[in-house]
Amino acid sequence: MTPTVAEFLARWEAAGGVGWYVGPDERLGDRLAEAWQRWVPSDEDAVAALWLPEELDRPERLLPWIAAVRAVRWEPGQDPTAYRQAAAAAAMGVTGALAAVAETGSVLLALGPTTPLLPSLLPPIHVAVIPTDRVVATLSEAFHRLYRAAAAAGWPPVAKFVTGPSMTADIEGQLVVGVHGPRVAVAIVCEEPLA
Amino acid sequence: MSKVQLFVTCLVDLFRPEAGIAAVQVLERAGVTVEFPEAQTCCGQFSYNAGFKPEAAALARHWVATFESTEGPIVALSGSCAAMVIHSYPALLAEDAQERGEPEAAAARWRERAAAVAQRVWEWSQWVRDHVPPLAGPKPAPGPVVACHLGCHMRRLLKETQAPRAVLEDRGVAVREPVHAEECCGFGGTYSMTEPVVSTALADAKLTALDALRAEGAVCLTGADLGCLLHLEGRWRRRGVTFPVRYLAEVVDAAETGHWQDFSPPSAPLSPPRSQARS
Amino acid sequence: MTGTLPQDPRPWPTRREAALKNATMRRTVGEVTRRLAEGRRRALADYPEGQVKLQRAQVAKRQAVARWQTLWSELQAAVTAHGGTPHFAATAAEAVALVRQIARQYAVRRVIKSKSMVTEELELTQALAQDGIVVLETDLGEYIIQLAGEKPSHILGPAIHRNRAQIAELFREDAAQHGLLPPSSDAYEALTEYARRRLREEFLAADMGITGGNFLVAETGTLVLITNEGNADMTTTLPRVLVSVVGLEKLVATWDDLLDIVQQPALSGVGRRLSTYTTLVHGPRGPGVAEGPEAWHLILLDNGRSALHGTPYEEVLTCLRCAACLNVCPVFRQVGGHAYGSVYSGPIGIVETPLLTDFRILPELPSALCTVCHACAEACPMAIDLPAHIIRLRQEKVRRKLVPTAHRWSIRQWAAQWRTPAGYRRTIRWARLAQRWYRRGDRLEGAPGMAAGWFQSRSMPPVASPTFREWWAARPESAGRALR
Ligand code: SF4
Repeated sequence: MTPTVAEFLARWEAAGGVGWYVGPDERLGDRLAEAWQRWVPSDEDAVAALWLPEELDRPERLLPWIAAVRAVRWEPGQDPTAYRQAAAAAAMGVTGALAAVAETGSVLLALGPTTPLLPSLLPPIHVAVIPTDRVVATLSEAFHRLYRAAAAAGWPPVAKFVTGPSMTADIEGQLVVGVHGPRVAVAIVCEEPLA
Repeated sequence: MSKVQLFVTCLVDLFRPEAGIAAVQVLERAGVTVEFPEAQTCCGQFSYNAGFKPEAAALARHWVATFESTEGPIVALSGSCAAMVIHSYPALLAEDAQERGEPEAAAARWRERAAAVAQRVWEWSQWVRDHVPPLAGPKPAPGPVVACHLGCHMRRLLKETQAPRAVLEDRGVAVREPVHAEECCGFGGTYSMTEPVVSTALADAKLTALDALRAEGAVCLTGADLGCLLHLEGRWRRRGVTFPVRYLAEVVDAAETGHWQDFSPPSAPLSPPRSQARS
Repeated sequence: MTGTLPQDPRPWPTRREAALKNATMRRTVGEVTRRLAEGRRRALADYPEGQVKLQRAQVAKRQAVARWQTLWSELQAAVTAHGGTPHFAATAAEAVALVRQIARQYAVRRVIKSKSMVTEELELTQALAQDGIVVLETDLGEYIIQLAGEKPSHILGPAIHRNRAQIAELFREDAAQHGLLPPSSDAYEALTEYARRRLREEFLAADMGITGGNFLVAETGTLVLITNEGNADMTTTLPRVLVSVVGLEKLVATWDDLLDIVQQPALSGVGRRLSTYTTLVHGPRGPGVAEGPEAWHLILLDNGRSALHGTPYEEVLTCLRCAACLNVCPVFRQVGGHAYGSVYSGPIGIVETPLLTDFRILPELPSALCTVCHACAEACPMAIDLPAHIIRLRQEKVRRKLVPTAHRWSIRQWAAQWRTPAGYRRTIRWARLAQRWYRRGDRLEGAPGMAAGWFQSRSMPPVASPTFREWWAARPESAGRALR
């Protein structure tokens, strides 16, 4: 694990999130299964809202979790209302990310045709999966990454830096997690498997 | 031998001459020559903070005229009044000159005069810390504990939080600050008169914090700004508490002379001026 | 042109007494503000990079405020290019009219709002309700005060004046009214869970979302929203129409400027390097995208702001609404936000309220709610010299004769006498005569005129005999050393 990855995970946890690292000889699917088991109440019908970057979205990497769980995915052309209802009903949202920032412990998400934000927002649990090469040291690098992506493909209608779980201190100043967004925010930094 | 100009402030002059006398005693005991420009009145901060600019400027002009003809450091018996001269005078006098229709050059001249005299200003404990070594001889054994409240302008405009503690600790006095020491006691100059309710709510919060130090055995409350001290003392007295409240120099003087028995209620008549005890 | 702000109709003494009597509010406000102020100190202490960025941000914001018109032209172009629709509202009334018109245009029935001080300024919720539109606040604190029919009492914690039991009661009534299960207990988590459940359906059903904005980036056409709960993200992605109302002071020039400034509200407000959600809105959704609004209207609001342009008060517009100044203000800690009577409370509120309205409302603010302790100046990330502005506003009040005649008279007399040593000595003689009436034992217990206020709650020592200068003059060793 590089120091940058370690710093990101530490800051993400300091912000109230859960940070995991998946090494080259580990399977992402095992950690997803662990998250599912730990935070999703046992329910036959529980579904996940899912999208992942192409390189990670492979059955061999997602097993055993993907075999046990029904995953809802957004396909362009689908009815947005139906997708929104499905995402709202999902027990866990799993997404990729454009970048993760060590300096602030944040994950950068950008809305696009294949990268909806609703799975990161509506379910009570959000798992962001970040390939190691997307973990950057400074906020400035992430800003510039987004700027360059926008220069190439146009600005996403919405992008956001997420730093930990949804929280509030609006009642007597006491911190409570999970107001409107997720109560559990997991960041998994995932090493590319050795070729 | 060094020589200083004493700026006693109107509050010390009128309501607590003991503070000025003690300040003189401590300085003279160390061989410092103290001069007192007798034309001095008030720095005008009361008027300035209340928004009365021409009135404040009139007092500021008099203050500058009084002190610029003297020599050497000007030692102020108030962090807040020192801050007024240092931070507000140059702009105040320049703007006021302009607003009175004086030419640009005259306004610039006032700014320079004010800045020149302001450069010489020290709050008393700052000057004492840097120039007056504690009396020779063994440090007194663990001495009395005092509670200390520093005014906001001392803290935030002069950025001085250590000098009062240093001069006291050098003389064997243990210093305790209340919790939330940096919070305003609510005095605020004329604010204490025009908005007495909030001013008093703040005083009560400070007195509650100070109660813990009284319980720890502090012998008095001290500080570097008489305005805050009169406000807190006045509130205590109205609530029937007669805990001694002393300006910093009085505590330093007591520590140097061992005359803690002089810590009598504020009503006591002035003790006759002490003979100069230059050892 | 001067702006308009809503105001609490109760006079200051009534607001003050209500505040000082509210022990729950004072305790909670004291605890929360101290915790936030401490968080800020700690976050800045271990983050030197934050300081470096901050210094650049102060410069960038001042420049942006100074040339807001140019930046607004740039922003309009960028927003239009993203498919959004920019509007300008010179007054609060114009902004309200625009929002109502947009709501009509899209046949809007249900609106969700994320927290925004500007919409408080406009009283937008009340205006839309007149058109039969249901508007729900979705920030937890804002939702609580909406149920209670109150105004926010703190920029960041709108409901910090209410305790848990009071909030549980509001939620139980709300649940009964909507046929929902009430909160399962008075626990913080249970109350929060109720709000999540209650508002979730509203998020999914709403036609229009309304947000404010923390920053607007002219170069890129970006609206930045900084929140912690996730409600702003719902508001910007779920409803089909999005309206953002933003004060013109929120403009920044470039993406790089944004980078320097974007962390400051979280650092100074809550002591974090970033809040949970830093949301960047660029425009309506494109084809094939599952979420995001179909239309985005951005309203830039003046309402008295541009009048500060080119005045000594211009820097006030660089305010980030981080609330650091509220959190360290001793007066705010005593009386809480409602006592101010304005949507903007705390040190920045007592400066902005008279400035935006040209003293037409709440002229007591700069005088009655500040001891000039300078804690706010020390805390403000934008280096706004709040105490200097407060004193300048007090001067303005004296010029406009907005202070009691008796005070003016007292201070003028005082200065007139004390500008000479003879006058000073004269007042000592007067005081010694007068104090005979007010002396009780060793203390003074009263005084005439302005000084009477002191004696409502405090006593004073009498004028000493001798005074220091009398002692000095009489002292043998003084002879020949006194300077006359
Ligand atoms: S005036 Fe300064 S401290 Fe107060 S809210 Fe604005 S930016 Fe923050």
